[in-house]
Amino acid sequence: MKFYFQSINEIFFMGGHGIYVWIVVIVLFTTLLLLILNFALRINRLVKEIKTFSQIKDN
Amino acid sequence: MLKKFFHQFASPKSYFRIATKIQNPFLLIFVLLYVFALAWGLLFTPEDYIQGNSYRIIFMHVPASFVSQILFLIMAFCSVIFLVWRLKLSIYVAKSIAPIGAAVTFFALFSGSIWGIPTWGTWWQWDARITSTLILLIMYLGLISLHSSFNNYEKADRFFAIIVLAGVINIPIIKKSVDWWSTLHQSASITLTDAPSIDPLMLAPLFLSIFSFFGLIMGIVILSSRYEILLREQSKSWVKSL
Repeated sequence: MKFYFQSINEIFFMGGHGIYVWIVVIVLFTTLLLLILNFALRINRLVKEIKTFSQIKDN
Repeated sequence: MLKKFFHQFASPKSYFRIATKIQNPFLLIFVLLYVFALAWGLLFTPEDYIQGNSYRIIFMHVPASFVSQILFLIMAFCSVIFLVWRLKLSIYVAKSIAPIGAAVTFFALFSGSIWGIPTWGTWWQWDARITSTLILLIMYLGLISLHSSFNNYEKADRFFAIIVLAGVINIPIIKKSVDWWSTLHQSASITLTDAPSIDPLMLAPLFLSIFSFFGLIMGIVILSSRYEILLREQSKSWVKSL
């Protein structure tokens, strides 16, 4: 495995194609993060709701 | 013994317990593996002699396209199990795959469009591969909307499973579209019968990115199926005692 680029600038610009590659990287990780956060937060909210509801019922 | 094991695992309660335990390590392992595969592909492989550096989008586009189709096949498999054996867990999993499938298919189309700008000179073309993938996205969105339009879960599940089985016909169409029609989209570089036409230096990180992206998405499926189980089983005593 050999590092292909010579400088940070080269990594960023990739011979004029960097804009396309990095946009896709950003959208990919944003999508993945949103998916994970969305379901994790929904589970937390639902568990809280279920607990609150069963407490009200017990009282 | 095997039957007993499957019966136990197939109950939403047991699945939920196991899924809760494995979810975080599973996600962590595959996130790290995918980040490694992506870094390998983006920074440690030579540029393509025709496409230049824009080909590096392959390490995101191909895994997403592959997984978007595999997810639909898994949904179809779960739907068959639900329709034949009435196993509740299978339809919970199938239902929880739909929004993830929609997101992954959207990303596959988006990354393909961005890749098309420097390589084809256009971001969209109504060719067979791209159009059939767009139909896949519409099917995922349609399934989500169909399920939520019913008041009754039982009816919603049955219709959902039937529509998934009808829609699965689109998967071989997507796969063979580049062979059956003349398309702007290139034909498959990796097939089961022929040697891959990609250089091994690029092929290794591509295989790793496909494998790790699949694992990562399955981690998210575990997460979303836990939500679906909680939602459907919230009146059960085991959920209340969580």
